[in-house]
Amino acid sequence: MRMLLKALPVVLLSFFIGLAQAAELALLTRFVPGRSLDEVTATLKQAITSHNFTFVREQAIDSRLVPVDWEAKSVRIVYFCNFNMMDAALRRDLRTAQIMPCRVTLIEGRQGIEMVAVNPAWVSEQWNAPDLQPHCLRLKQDYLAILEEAAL
Amino acid sequence: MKKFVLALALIAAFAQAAASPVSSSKSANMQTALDDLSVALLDHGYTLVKVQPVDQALVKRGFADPGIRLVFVGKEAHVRQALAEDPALLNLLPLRLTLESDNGRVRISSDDLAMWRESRPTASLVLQQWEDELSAILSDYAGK
Repeated sequence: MRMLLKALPVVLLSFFIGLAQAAELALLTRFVPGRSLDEVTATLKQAITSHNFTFVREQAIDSRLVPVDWEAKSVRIVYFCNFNMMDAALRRDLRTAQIMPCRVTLIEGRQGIEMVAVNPAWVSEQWNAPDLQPHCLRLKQDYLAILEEAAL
Repeated sequence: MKKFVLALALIAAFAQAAASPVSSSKSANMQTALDDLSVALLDHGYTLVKVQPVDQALVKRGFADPGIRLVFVGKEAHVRQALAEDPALLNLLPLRLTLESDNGRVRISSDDLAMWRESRPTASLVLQQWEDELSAILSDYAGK
C-alpha cells in the first residue's frame, strides 16, 4: 500500500501529461462547399492579408516533382508568414522552424474544398514545450480565424 | 518501487529518443551545405523543391540573422503514398529540412516524423520509410 501511495504522484503526473497531450487535435480543418479551388485560394489569400500575415507562395502538392503539365490540379499548398512572429519564435526555440512558414493545404473534392493546416498547438504539445504553448495557441487562433474568414 | 520508477524513467527516455528528428551536422557554410545536400538528394532520387532563405528574409526586414534556412524536398511517389495511405500526410509534403548554421558548422534536421507515426499508426510504415530515406540522405550529407 505504501508503495502504491509513493508511486501515486508519478502515476497522476503521467495521467495529466497524457490528458494534456490529448487535448489538441493534430489538424485544423474547414470545409467550403460548392466553390472551386481557385475561388477558395483567392479568399484564403485575402484572409491571410487581413490577419496581418504575408502571402509567400502557392504551389501544387507535387510542384517540381513532376512536369508542370502533370501537376495535381486538386491539391494546392498556400504558404504565408508574419516576419515579427517568425523572428520571435526562432529566438525562443529553433524547433519552431518545423512549423514555418505557415501553411494551408487545399484539397478539392466533389462537394467542395477542404482546407487543412497542422495545428501548431498540437506540435508544441508533442514537443512537451510548455513555454512555447501559449504562443502556439495564439498562432492556432490565427489559423482558425484565417480558415473561418476564407470559408465565408 | 525503485524498479517501478526506473521503468517509468526508461519509458520516458525511450519516448524522448523516439521523438528526436533525424539530423546530421558537419563543418560547412550555408552554400556548401546546400550544394552537398543537393548531391545527396539526387543520389537518393529526391528533388530539391524549394529553398526558403529565412535568414535572408529576416535580415532584409531588419531582424537579426537566425542562421536558418528551410529546404523542401521530395519524390513524386510520396504524394501517391500519402493519397493511398492517409491524405493527412499531404500536410507533411514536400518534406521539410531545416539548415542551421552555427560556428562554422551546418546542422540539417528533418521535421519530427515520429510524432506523426504515433498519431497516425495506420500510416506508420510510410512515415518510417520517409524517415529512413531522410536519414540516409543526411548521413551522405555528413560524409561528403
